[in-house]
Amino acid sequence: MERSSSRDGADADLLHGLDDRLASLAMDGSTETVLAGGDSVRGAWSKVVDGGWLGLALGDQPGALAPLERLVRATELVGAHRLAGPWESCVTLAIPALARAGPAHAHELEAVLDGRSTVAAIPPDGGTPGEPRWSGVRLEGQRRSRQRLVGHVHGVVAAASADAIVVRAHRSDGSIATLLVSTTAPGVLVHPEPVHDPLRPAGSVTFSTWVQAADVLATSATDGPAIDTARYLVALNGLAIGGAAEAIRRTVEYVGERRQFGVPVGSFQAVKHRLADAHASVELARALTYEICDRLDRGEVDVSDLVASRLAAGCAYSDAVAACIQSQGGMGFTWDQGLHLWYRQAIMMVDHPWPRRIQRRIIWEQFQTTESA
Amino acid sequence: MGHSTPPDDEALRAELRAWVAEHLEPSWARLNRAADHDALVQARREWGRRLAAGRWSAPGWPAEYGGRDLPLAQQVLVLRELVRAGAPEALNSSPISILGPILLRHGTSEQRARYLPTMLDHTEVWCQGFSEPEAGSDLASLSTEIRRRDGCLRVYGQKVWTSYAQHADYCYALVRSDPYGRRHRGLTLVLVPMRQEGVTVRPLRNMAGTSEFAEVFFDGARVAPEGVVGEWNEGWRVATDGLVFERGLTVAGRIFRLRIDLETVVRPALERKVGRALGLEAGFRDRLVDMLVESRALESHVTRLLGRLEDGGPDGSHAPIAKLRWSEVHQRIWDLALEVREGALWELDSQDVVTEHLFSRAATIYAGTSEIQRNLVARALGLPSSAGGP
Repeated sequence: MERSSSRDGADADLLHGLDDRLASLAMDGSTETVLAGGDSVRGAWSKVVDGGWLGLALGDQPGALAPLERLVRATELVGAHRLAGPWESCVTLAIPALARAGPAHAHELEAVLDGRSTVAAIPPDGGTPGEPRWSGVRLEGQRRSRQRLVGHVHGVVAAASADAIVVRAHRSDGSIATLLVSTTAPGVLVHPEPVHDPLRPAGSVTFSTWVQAADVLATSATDGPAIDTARYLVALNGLAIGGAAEAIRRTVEYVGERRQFGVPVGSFQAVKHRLADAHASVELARALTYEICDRLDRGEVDVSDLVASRLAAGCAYSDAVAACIQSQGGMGFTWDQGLHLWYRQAIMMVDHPWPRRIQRRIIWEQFQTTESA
Repeated sequence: MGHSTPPDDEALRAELRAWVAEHLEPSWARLNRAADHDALVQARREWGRRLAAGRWSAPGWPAEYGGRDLPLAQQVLVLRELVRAGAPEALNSSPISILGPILLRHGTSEQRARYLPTMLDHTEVWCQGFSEPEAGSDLASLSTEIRRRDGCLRVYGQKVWTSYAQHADYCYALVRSDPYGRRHRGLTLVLVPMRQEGVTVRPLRNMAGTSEFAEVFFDGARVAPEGVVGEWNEGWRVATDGLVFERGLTVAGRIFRLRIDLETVVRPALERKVGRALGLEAGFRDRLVDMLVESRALESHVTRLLGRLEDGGPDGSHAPIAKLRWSEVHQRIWDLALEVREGALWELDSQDVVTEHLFSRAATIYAGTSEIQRNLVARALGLPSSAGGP
């Protein structure tokens, strides 16, 4: 992909700024405050978005989406700093849908970008990246200008702290409607789920509500949902790669200082090789992810590659942090050391949005239909 | 290396495909090691000769030395196409990828003119003299030495694992040139004619039953003054440049071959065994999928690595990661290819699978063991060295 050096320089400055911002939040104990119950995820999230960082989701032209490579680099930083909130669903599923909806929803988009409104988004749970499906929600019936939105969805990150949710629902004619639904609308119920990742608590959402035409952001069977799903998958990879790399970096620092038998434990080959393997897996996932960024920005979608990258990044993340915990020994197992924050995110993400069994099946089915290279 | 204006990718691909269709013998495609060793060597040598005539051997080299001045991206395109066609590696593929760049960077114009053309066109066959019985992973501890005796430079010592030594006309060898130099200091890279008194080659049989490599004993073998590459006592630095390239382009070709092996060897075996209802054999299918995923990611990774080489050098972990992971996926592919047979090895084509499986055990050993590759990755991460170790 041809890029101007001036744009590369501008991107680098932007990402440095984000890195500094996220580092300052980590240093001010934002994460610890959330974990100690002294701040809500919503409060911590508002600090992340303060400064307009969600604007990274958008391109330079009105309605355009950000170059995916830049967005994923930013997402790596979010993963590394392990901050609260639904970054990836916001920048790939919610904000693009609002931007695509045009002037009629400009005020809602602005409210999300400047942090006045917190929005969550529901990722697909079926189909493939090329034909994603949202099995839990559907639009049915018609009464005057309204339709009924019904369904139940699990695992919506930040649902409990969101003002609105971007929902995709299938219609009986096969089209997919994208809607912005207020969490306080009659017939919308959000139930907190067991908290496995305290920085990204999820909720179940039950819909039994009437929606107006004005609530509909878009109606399309293909492009919007598929494009956004592809970008969502790649953003998940960014979180994984950034998180894994940070866990490895912290562990390298730890094992370089921790001494046993008179030497740093990091000098033992068993430790070095475990971390080397972890790093190798992350680098492979990184390479495939950024190749896909380049191709997606050119409009090339390869379902097999997309899912392969998800499988690679997801497994690399969980395996890497597991290796880091092992390498840090007893300290690695403690709450205070903090590795569990990355590990919790990793194990929640590895089977998301599709279980690994389904990811492998999708890749296999694509392999079955391809000819030799 | 300078680059003239490259042709369009599609034009290049079309030209190469047409050329391959005309010059690659059908029997050479997917050559395997179960074939007669001498026949295999002759086929690889003839293929190397034809590649050179078509100027496809080293497309990144300057045209004056038989290359095409192609940029790295198009060198990769050529590599992919040759792999796709099932072409074997040319007999001199290793020296072309290692010694060639060394001579281009560190050699004299006379050395380049003398050695590069005949290396490419396979008039002369080359072998590499690096490892020794007491210097494998710890190559810097090598002890084969070069001394001035009777007015000549002469080599004394022993090399091992020297591939194709029994066919070679020349050996590029790392030798100790400063008797007081320790480890990587005091080494020189020299070009030793193999067909002379003072060189004894003893082929070694590998566990797959063939003798591709050998021990080489040097007992006063002469090296001409023009056979010294780069500065005296600077051989480690000179040769290390070549090792970086080895890990680059050579491993790229092998990585591109992974998915082809999966598609042409493993998938047919799975389908033949269990039919199309492979959903029932989730264990096999999932392992194949995981190998597909890793192969695909490796292709991205090595493409990035080669780009960094062109820009001025990778970080310390990209190259060892490529070699480490290629070798382990390669072994897993041949593990699965064998396992799918489930012991039914009485069929004729099972010999190919068994032979390739046996050969695959060497992949994690040559060109730097997996243990060394992991140490290199660890070093790049900033982990401390092991006491007394790498």
